[in-house]
Amino acid sequence: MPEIISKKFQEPPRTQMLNKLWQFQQERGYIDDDALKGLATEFGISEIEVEGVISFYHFFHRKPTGKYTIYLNNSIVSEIKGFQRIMEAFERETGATFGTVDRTGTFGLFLTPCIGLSDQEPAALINFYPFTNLNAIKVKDIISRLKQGVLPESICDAPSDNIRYVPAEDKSVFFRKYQTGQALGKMESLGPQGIIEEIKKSELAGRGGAFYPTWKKWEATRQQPASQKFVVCNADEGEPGTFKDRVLMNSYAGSMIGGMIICGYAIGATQGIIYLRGEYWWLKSKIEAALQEFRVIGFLGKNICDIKGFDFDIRIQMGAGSYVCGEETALLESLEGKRGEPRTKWYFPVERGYLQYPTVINNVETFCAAERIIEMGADAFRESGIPGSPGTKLISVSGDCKLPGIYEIEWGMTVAELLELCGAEDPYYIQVSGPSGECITVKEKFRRISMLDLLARKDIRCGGSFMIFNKQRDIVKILLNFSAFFKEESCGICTPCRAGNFIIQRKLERLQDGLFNEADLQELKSWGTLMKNTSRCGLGKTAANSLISAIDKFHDYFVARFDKDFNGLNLKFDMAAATADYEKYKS
Amino acid sequence: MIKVTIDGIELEVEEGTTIMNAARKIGGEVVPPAMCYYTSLKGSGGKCRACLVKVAQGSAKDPRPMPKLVASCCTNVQDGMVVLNSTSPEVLETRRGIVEFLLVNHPLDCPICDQAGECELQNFAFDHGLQKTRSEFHRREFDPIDIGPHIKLHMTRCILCYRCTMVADQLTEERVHGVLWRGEASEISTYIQKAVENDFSGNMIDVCPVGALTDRHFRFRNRVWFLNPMDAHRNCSKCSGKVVLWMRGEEVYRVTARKDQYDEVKEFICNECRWDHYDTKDWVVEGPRAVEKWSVITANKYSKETVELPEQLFSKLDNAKWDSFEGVT
Repeated sequence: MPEIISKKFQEPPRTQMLNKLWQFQQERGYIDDDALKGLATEFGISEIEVEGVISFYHFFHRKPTGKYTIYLNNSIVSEIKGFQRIMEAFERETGATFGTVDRTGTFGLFLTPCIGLSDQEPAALINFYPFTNLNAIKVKDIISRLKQGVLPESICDAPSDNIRYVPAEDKSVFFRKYQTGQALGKMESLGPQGIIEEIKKSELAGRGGAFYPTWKKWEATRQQPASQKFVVCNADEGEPGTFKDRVLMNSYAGSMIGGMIICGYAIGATQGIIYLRGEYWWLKSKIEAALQEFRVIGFLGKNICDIKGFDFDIRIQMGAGSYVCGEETALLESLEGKRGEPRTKWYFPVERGYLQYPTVINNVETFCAAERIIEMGADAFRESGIPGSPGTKLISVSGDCKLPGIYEIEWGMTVAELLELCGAEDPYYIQVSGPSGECITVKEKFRRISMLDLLARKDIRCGGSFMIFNKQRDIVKILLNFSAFFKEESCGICTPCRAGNFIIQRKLERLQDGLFNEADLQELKSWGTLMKNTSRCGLGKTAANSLISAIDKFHDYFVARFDKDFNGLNLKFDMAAATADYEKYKS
Repeated sequence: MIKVTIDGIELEVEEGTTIMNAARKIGGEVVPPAMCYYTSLKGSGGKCRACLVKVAQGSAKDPRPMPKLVASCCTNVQDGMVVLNSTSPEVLETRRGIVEFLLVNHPLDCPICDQAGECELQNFAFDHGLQKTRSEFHRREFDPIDIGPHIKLHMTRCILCYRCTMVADQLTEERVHGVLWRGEASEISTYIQKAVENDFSGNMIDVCPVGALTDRHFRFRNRVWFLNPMDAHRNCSKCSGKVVLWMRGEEVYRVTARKDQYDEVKEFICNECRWDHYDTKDWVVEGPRAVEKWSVITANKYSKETVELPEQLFSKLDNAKWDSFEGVT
């Protein structure tokens, strides 16, 4: 047996909170009062605090969720691929309505935002096993088999990677031939400082979408005098329409793990944590297997790669359904077993992160890229890109196109080329980098995709996804789906994001009803701008991005949606409903 | 010591001071409003966004302005920082927006709310808000619940500043008060409405900026502007015993802790002082409390000037003479 690191540093028990809650959730289908009381006693905290944590994550329930808990994705891509029919099919077949459990307690139906399978929608998770490309017949078949007692894990789908485009072998970064540990062998000769120099030379920037220079994070953490440091991999890929990390972890988990080990060596950490979103439970065993393989070879554990004194191990922490936990400080709070509320930014995570120790947090793609950089050299990495935008970029393409899937594009590719590659069908509205990104019209298709020019707005700076919508799609419906998503996922800690997303959703509902005029549209934009300027974390700051850009770019479309006769009065005002309370009181 | 300029006023503060606290050293218009920050509660601040200010110059070393408005309660000043608060139209405009956001789910039930007259949100909206609203949607509603025999929680009015949960966490030992759910559905809740049986739980009422937590013994009994706040103290083994008696005639309507000009309590009081001593005989009355001149509480009573009379005068006054202070302007 490989030697496991003797635990020099013991993570406090509270960090096990989410794991414990998952255990109850999966064993009993919900977290009952006894479990809650037990946890409060175990961790020495109050019951209300445990309750607060449970209610923050939408995969944790305080009521039974049925023997088979079904989470159907209600993101916009699912919606255009027939969400409504699937929803009805599930309700018809199981006898439960969404949000509830059927009478026998067998099936629980719930909705959840994007589960990272946008290329094979409509998709659902049954007991967290994936079922993709659903249609009414398939749903009927699944449910009848479950009723016969077949286990969901035995009939679930294995989501395919759908890697649609890879540059020529020597230019590919992520999907080139992978050999476990090739990069790790170079660690010792480079040395920690050498690795950071190499990453600096490669100009790698954070691939989660913020494009912060990776070497700066690593260097800053390395400089911190601390007894303990952490490497955290952000695999909480919550942005609707994004699934690149899913593909990387499904087929190239070793690359991610390698990247984390390299980072750990460079900054002097002994513990790495992969924060994997709850939607990806089905990937967990795969990553575990990869970790075990690394341990057996001696890439994890003590004296890794025969480097004396370099001890490092990685564990997986499952998230539990919270988009905001992709925000790095919220992720840290979640890792510590708390409500995933973003921290007040007194310190950067590189100064005080997980458990107040210096922590590097990078996205899955960033760690994979870092590993490849050490393997292929910074120069080769840069050469595969264009000046200012090194390497290649993974883009998740979904929506109205023939070939949804992952595209490893060369930076500098234009939107038109990408649309051509994926076989986009009559594209009209394109959502770049998910709901928190920006929307572009097909008229802008000659813009390049790169890391540059965020402010000049010449190039498109893409965090990782393209959702393509054709002319038949209802833009208001798309925006409404986004705002409903943000309203649901806002942590609620700061005023603008809590109230702003609520207002925007209400306003868009009125727009959908035609009860809107130009003044309303400008008002909507001002609510959005205000939320953008005043929110505390990235969620609120970006939640109105697509709305604001859509109002500017699709102005005519909105104008066409106004009710011509609308004179500012609410024509659809329901007098009977409005006075119902009064009538009741009167009688 | 480092130099910072706020609204054109230069001052020196210690390193590690927040913009908010630097501004409070100057006082007056320069001080940003705060709905969630509370000096004595660790971890408060950064939530309400009422205190956002513009940083026109980051520091002497790096003079670039900060790209977005920053929360002054949780941003430390840098040497050579230039901050704009009431002199920045952008800040004032934004603050109007924050008032709107806060009122999206806050009922305008001030006429029947016990907090009216000493409500931080009311003052904030009066100072910084518009007179009209653009939100015409249903506000969330909750039934009021009792937290033990003394406190009423009216969640409908809550603006989720989290102060009360911090009191529960930091002043009282047993935490039964916390935040549930998330986003727009967030609510403050008491676990199974269990009574908050702790000697300092009453302070949750004092830290609440709005009328979400009110004193059950005081509810609907009087308006704060009809009462005379009197500084008083008693020997208490649990707390400082320094309180304010809210009186009308001879009767003590309620007892609260003393708040400073930023509506903050510096010395928290125990529940015994708050609820068990409604008799003036139990107290050594120091005299009328200084109340900011603009406050509605001064209405038809006395002004700050009155209070500047020699202190000895007040301590010598006997109970019967308090009434004569009514009407002094």
